[in-house]
This record gives sequence, structure tokens and C-alpha cells, in this order.
Amino acid sequence: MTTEELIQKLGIDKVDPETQKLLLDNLANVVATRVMAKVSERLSDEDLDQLNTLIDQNDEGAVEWFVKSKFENYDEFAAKIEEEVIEELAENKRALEKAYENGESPATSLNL
Amino acid sequence: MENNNSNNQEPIPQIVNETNQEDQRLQSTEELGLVPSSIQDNTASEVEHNPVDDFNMDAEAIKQVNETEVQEEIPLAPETVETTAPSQQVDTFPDTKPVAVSTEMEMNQSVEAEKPNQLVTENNSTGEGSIIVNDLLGATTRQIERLEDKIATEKGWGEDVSKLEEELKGHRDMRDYLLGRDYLDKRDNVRDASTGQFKAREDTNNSDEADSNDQAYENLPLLKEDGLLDKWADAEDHNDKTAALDIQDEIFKRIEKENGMDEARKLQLIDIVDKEMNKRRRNVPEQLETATDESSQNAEEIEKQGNDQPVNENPEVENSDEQEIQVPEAPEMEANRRLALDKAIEGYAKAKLHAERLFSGKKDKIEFDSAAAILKTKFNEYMAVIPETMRVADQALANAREANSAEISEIDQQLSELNNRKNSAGEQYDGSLDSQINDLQAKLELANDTKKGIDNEYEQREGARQAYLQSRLMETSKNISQAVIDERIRSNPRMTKFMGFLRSHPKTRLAVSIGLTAAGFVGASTFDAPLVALATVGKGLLRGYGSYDLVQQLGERKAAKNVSQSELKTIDDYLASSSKEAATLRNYKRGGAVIGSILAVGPIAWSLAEGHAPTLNRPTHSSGTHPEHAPAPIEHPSTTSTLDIRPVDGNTLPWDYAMNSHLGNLSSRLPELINNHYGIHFVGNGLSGGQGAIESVTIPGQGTFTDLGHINGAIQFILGGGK
Repeated sequence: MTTEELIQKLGIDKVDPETQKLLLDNLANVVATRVMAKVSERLSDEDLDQLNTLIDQNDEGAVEWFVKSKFENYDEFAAKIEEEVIEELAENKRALEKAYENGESPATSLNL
Repeated sequence: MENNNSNNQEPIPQIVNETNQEDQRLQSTEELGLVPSSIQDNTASEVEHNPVDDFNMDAEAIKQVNETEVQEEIPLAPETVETTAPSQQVDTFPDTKPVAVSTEMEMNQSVEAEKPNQLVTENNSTGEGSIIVNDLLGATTRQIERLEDKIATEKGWGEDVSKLEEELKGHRDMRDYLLGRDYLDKRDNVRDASTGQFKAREDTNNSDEADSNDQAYENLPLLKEDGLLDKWADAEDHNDKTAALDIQDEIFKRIEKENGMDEARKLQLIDIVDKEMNKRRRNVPEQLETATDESSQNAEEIEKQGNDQPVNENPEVENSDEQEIQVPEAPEMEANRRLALDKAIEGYAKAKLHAERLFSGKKDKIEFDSAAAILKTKFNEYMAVIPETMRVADQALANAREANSAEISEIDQQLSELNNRKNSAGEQYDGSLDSQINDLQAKLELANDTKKGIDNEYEQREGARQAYLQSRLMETSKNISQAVIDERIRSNPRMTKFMGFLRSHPKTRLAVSIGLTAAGFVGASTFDAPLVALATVGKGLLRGYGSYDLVQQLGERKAAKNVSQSELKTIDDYLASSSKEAATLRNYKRGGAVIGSILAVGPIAWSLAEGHAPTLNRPTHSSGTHPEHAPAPIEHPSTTSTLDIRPVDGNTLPWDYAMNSHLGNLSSRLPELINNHYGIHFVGNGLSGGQGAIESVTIPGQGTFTDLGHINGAIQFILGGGK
């Protein structure tokens, strides 16, 4: 997805470029935080002990490898979350716009 | 079928171990403390004969009997009960196939079987107890059938079946023992084995449950020998998560050693152990026990307040004659629903972690489901008011335009009159009107500037609306994930370092959005950092949604042009008319702070008058029943000059310092920092190019500092409650 496509998808095409950039930075933050929330679910105490050892060794590459090894396909996993977040934001944005225009209650949804 | 011990209320005779392997297994069981020493098992494929606990059923035995369909009569209880052919299915234990049980009494009553017959322990007539004993009965019954089949087969081949017969006898003894105890009939009535009478289960449950659990645990050496549960409860009481986790680990390891116990039963056991631990706690925190209930209640209370009365952002403001503030209904409701949503998020995060705990049980799962449902409800309620807030903001802008237009006309008219008088005086004019004319011209200039600003707002309204909506949605989404992470860090110290590592290594690809990076605009992940609050960035990128931006804009203009007190009245007039039913402001700055925090930026207001680039994050709330409202950043000169803030830990980054000092996750407590009422101001480097780091702190009476020591000292002072 290109930046332009993403802007269209999120419904922020009328937003000035500076604000668009801030919103996209925020989006990256939202996605990254959700990814990490999901990652944290997968890590057992034993995993965290090992990770902390690697962190003590300041081995960033090993930390990354270790976490990814807990997933069959980490990149796919993270990309799926990103897609879900974007889709959720886009759908709810549309619902709110519609509610604003028609004076009705928005049909928003929340994926947990 | 034989029923050779039908009246027995005592534990069945001991069965002697026959193999070394079994000795080892028993040793392990005793070490765990789950098996009274008077009870020994027979083979690895047998269930325990312990009348109290259910923890020693052999997994292999269960698996084996599960594979056998029950086709025979099973005697249930002495004399009054006689088993018949299978008529009911018991499905109370995972992975076990149904046990066929029926009673003569029930048959005589011609009641169709809808529920399983369930046996209950004599000490425990709760559903839990009934499941336990029923599982033993089912497993035992199946084992008997398996052995009978096997013996018949072996005999047919002329093999020695003496050991098998001995094994069979043990199982039959066990079955008969179980059948001689209380049980539930298919209508959920409890049959008292001593009287043969049935009574409603609910009549027996409540009073018996606590006592029966106590008695059950009195028989567990685990609780007596090394007091693990007491230590665990003590650790929980003292909020010593590390010790609590270590003890949980130890208990789990012991349970894990129970090779003869299947996973379902282990889970059942740790659930019971967890409940027992909670019973031993001296200070069971209410929020721990009723996180979701409380969340729900608080959310309802908050919303009720929001719907019924104005938000008291700062009592001093409300109580001051000079700060009489009212706000439009919809933005106020949004602010309060936002607080309710935050509370629901907090409850959800807590419940989620509880449900994921090693010792979580059904209650935790139910509470988690409930918390999730509450969160979805509060999310929808919060979202529902946002379009209304936008309409109020639109109306405020329309009102502002109307007032602006009227004021320009009025000033024009006054100027025209003054100029006419001046011109009429001709050469006799003495200059007495010049001052008034100059004042009016200055006011006209201000009004025209405001007109341009309002026109500009209209031009960018569509974009502002888009940004406003997405910023709200993103903020909520982020807050939920963040709350889960924060709660995980709080409940598991092991997580702290990992999350800290990710935070300090923004380039780590783990936390980077892959697609977004590919799109080329995300230079560095901003994981776990507060979102940029668009409402208060620069000139206000949300373009005046809510009165906040207008208030801010006018405030800035006043400072820039150094307008007089008489002009301040004019500004107040703008504000009052911009929201006719809303604002009565006697001080634009404080009013801007209050309205801004309600209308545009929720709980965050980053030193409004100073115009710092703000950040926005989830507010934190106490576990009390009263909602916390983020105070407006109003300075209190009389108190700020005496702040005793000294530098501390100058080599530690603020986030780490807060965590090390048990002040919590700085990200989630940021609102408290920036909304502090001590007049302390922090300046961050922002997130648009920066890392969201705090770069300096200004302490009233001391000055501005950029060193970590002063920054940490100020953090300690604020989050430590002024100490």
C-alpha cells in the first residue's frame, strides 16, 4: 500500500500534509504498540528470562531473532495486525463520518 | 456387577505399590503434597483412592478408559440405588467419554434423563465437588470395563490373570466407595447417602462450600509443610510480584511433576490452589477481585456525572468567582465518556491479565469476557458522542463568526461616528478623540485578524474533521494496547526490561510497522510513546474543533498585541457568544485551559499558555470509585515558590527512573506530569523527529534545567505526591 493509498483508506485526504504526517506517525505508533501487546502475550517467563539475558549482553540482533523465533512467520503476523488496525480505523472513521452527516448514532466496532 | 462395599463411608483399603516406577510416582505425588500418606495407588494406570482430593487420577488410566464405551450396569449407591443399563451421559471432564449412570429411584419416577447423575463428595456438595467425584467414578468404571475385557481375553489365551484381577479388585473397591457417597441426581438434587433422602442442591451448596474447601485443604500437606500458599498470599498482600511469581513457579513445577495427572486436572488444581491462596490473603484488593465490576460501576458513575453535571476539572476554578465556567453539553459528555472508556480499558487490561494468569479459573474468564463487553460498550458510547461534539464545535465556530461580524460592524460604526465628530470639528478639533479612535482601530485590527482566522477555519474544516476523527480513533486503539502492556509490566517484572529495551531501541524491526515502513514515511517506530496530540500541536491542526483552539488563538493574539483590559472584555464577548449557552469566561487563559482540556484534548493540556508541543496518552485513574479528572494546568504562584525539588539519579533516563522508583510506567503517567498543579513544566522533543524524550524541566522559583537529575527530581516530586 502506498502512502497515498493509505491516506485515502484512512479518510484523511483533506487533511493538510503536515497533519497527515503526524497522523501516519501516530498510526505507526498504534500498530507497533498493538504488535508488541500481542508479542508480549506469547512470551513465557522462561522466554523473558532468556530475552533479558540477551538484552544484558546488548545483543539487539539476538533479541530480535529470539522473539521472531516464537512465531511461525513473524513478518506475516505483524503485517496482519497492521492490516487489522488500518481496516478498523478506516471502518470506524467511515461510520463516524456517516453519523456526523446524517445525525445518527455511529455503528463503530472494536476488535479486541 | 458386584457391590461389595456399598455402605462404606471410609476410604477404601490401601493398595500396595508393585513396581519401582510406581514408588517413584508416589514419591513425586507426596512431595507435591497432594496425596495423604495413608493413600497409595496401585499401578500407573489407576486412579487414587483418596476420598478428599481429586488430583491423583492417573492420566493414562483416564485415557485408557476413555477409549472404552460403557455398556454395563453400574451400581451407584447402597440398597436404595441400583444401576441399570446406560441411560445418561456424563460429560463433565475434558477428554473423557460419557459414563452411563442411572438409578432405580429415577427410573421409578420415569424421569427422562437430561442431566448426568453426579456424585458429590461428602465434604463438598458444590458443583465443583460433584464433577471431581463423578470424574473419578467415570474413570474407575471405564477402567473396570477395560480390565474385565482384558481378563476375559487373557483367560481365553490361558494366561495368568491374577495381577489383573487384583488390579480389578482395587478399582471395584474404589468404585464402590465412590458410589457409597452423596451424589446429585439428574434434576440436580443432592442425595444424602446417610439418609437416602434427596434435597435441592442449592440448599446445600452455600453453607457447605467454604467449610468443605477448608477441610479439603487441611488434607493437603503442601499447605502445611512449607507454607507456600501462605507465603504466596503474603507476597500478594505486600504487592511483591517477584516473590509471588517465584512461588507460583514453584507450585507449578510441583504440579508439573505429577506425571499421572492430565492437563485438565492440573488446570483444575491450580485454579483451586489460587482460590485457596486468595482466601489466605489479609488484604485482598477490591480491584483485584472485582476489576470488571468496579470498572463497570465506575464507568457508569462517570458517565452519569458527565451526563448530569459539569466536569470539575479543578475545584479551585469552580470555586473561584472569577472562574465561573460552563461548557456545552456534548463536549462535556464526550470528556466524561472518555473517562468512562479509560476506566473500561483499565478494567479490560486487568481482567485480561488475570485470565491469562497461570492460576486463572472460570471466574477470571467470565470477568474477562465481561470486561471486554463493557469495553466495547463504552467504546461505542464514547464514539457516539463524537459527532455531537463536532456539531457543537461547528456551532461554536458559526457563533464566533456571527459575533465577529457583529463586532466588526459595531467597531466600524463607532469609528465612523468618532471620525464624523472629528471631521465635523474641523480645525477646532482638540485631539480628544484620538485615544478612543486608536483603541477602536486596534480592536478592529484584532477583529479582522480573528475574521481571517475564522475564515481559515472554515476552509480547512473538512480536513480538520477527518483529522479529529482519526486522532480520536487512533488514540483509543493505542490506549487499549498500551493498557495491556502496562498491566503486563506491572504484573510481571520480567517484562519490564524487554519493553524498556524496545523503547530504547526504536530501530528494532520488531516494533516497526512493516507496511508503513515500506510506504516510506515512517522513519522510526514510535512504539510505546505517547501519540502526538494534534489538537494542541502548533497552531492547532484540528482547526478549532471545540472552543479550545479559538480560546488559544485569541489568547496568543492578546499576548502578541498586548491588548488592554478593555479589549479583554471583547475577547470574553467572543467566547461567550461563540457558545451562547456555554462559556462565561473571566480569564481567557484559565478558561482556555479548562475548555481546551474538555473539548479538544481530553485529559491532556501541555502547558497551554506556553505553547509546548504536547503529547497525548491514556490518563491513569485510581481504583477508587470517584472519577479523576485531569486538572487544567493552572499555575499557583503562592505554592510553587516553595517547592522542595532536588536532583536525583542524574544518570538514569526518566522512564527507567520512574520504573526503578516504583512510580510506574511513565508513559501512562504522563498526564499527571504535564497536568501537575505545581506549575512545573516539562518540555519534550516531540515525536515528529524526536523520540518523545523530556528535554528540560522548569521548576518555579528555581529555573529551567536540562539535566536528568532535575528532571527525575521533578518527576519524583509530582508522582510522589509532592515529596
